[in-house]
Amino acid sequence: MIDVLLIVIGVYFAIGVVFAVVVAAGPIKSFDSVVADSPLRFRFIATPGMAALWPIMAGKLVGAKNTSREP
Amino acid sequence: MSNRYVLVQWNRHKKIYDIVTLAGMVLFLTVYVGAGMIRHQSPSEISPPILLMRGFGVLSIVMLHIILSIGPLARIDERFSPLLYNRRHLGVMFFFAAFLHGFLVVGFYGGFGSVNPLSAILNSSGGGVPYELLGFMALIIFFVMAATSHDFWLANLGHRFWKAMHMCVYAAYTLVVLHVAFGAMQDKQGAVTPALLALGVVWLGGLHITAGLKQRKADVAVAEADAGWIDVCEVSEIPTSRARVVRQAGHEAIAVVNNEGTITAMSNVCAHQGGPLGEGQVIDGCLTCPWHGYQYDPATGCSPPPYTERVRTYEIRVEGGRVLLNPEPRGG
Ligand code: HEM
Ligand code: FES
Repeated sequence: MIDVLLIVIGVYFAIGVVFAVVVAAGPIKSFDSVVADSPLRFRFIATPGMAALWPIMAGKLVGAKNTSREP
Repeated sequence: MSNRYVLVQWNRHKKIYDIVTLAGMVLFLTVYVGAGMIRHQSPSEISPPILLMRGFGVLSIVMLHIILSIGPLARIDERFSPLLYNRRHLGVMFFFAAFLHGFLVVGFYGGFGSVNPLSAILNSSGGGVPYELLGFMALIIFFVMAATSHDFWLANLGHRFWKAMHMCVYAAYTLVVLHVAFGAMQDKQGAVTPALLALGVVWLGGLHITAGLKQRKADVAVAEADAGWIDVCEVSEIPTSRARVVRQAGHEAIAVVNNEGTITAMSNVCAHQGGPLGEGQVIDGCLTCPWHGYQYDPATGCSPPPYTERVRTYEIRVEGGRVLLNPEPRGG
């Protein structure tokens, strides 16, 4: 039982870490215009949170893309 | 009289706060491990790494109590307000202490088996209450909170969500209390740990209730005056350079400010992280948020340049020494 939980949590965070690294490398700028001007270490600070809340942030990223395509 | 909220030395202040916190943490651990080594001499020796692991556990629960005390203490007595400043760093440092506790537990108690050490630890309660799991769940909550403490998250998750998420600290606190009640206390004899834990719970509960009662008393019992205007209080009831908070169902809380005798009103909600502006004071002509020192001109609700934050303002009328407030914000 606990092992299943651990696997689920592990998989969740593993996806999160990949997502966070990818997002920190570029797409993070589309969340927040301030980010572009911030020092690189800020992106480092944002990655743990990205890994934890990746479903929300992924949703926002998709949402942002969709709205920006509309005229 | 007070330069407690001073913004100018923001960085220096933060550094001092952090250094004092870190020094306190190191001192605590040193004393804990040192005292443990003296107390547990052979044959009942406990190795220093185990003591350190426990030390981090105790340190983190102590820090958690301090963190959770600061909010209500500042409400009860303004002299505690400076502690609010930089509470976020305190929270992140607390997380690292709790993490090191969990990490050392997994390393020392789970490290020698053949299964995955974390799984070994979390499965080790053998039919009893799985207290390690409770600690683990608390740690995950603390992780999410620490990881999202930066303003970036506040801006991107929205105030409501961020605040709701950070209220989970009370759920995590409950998990920690159960973790210690069912775990550490079962393993060891003696009434000291249970007594301290109970004391902590009663202390925090008492503080929160006291602060809530005090706030209710201070908040104006709103009496509706003519045409929707609210009769707030006598002018003399708002001390100079301070504010009084008006709460009304369905409206945001409003801070009514006395700036050298001029009464104005603005939102009670700081544009930064929603801090209670009405609990701050007027410094250099600006109402200064008690949480992180953002400032607002009481007349315009704008932060002084170069800052661009702005909160809503409200109309005020003074009639016969009484302060009347229009609860509809200016400009719609
Ligand atoms: C992965 C997460 C965690 C695990 C696996 C874990 C595991 C343990 C274990 C096995 C003990 C018993 C140690 C012993 O008897 O030698 C313990 C004690 C303790 N834990 Fe945790 N814990 C975790 C998280 C936390 C957190 C988040 C806190 C507090 C914020 C905490 C606070 C404590 C305290 C105060 C003790 C009692 C220490 C003592 O008096 O010896 N733990 N924990
Ligand atoms: S909430 Fe941060 S300064 Fe007001």
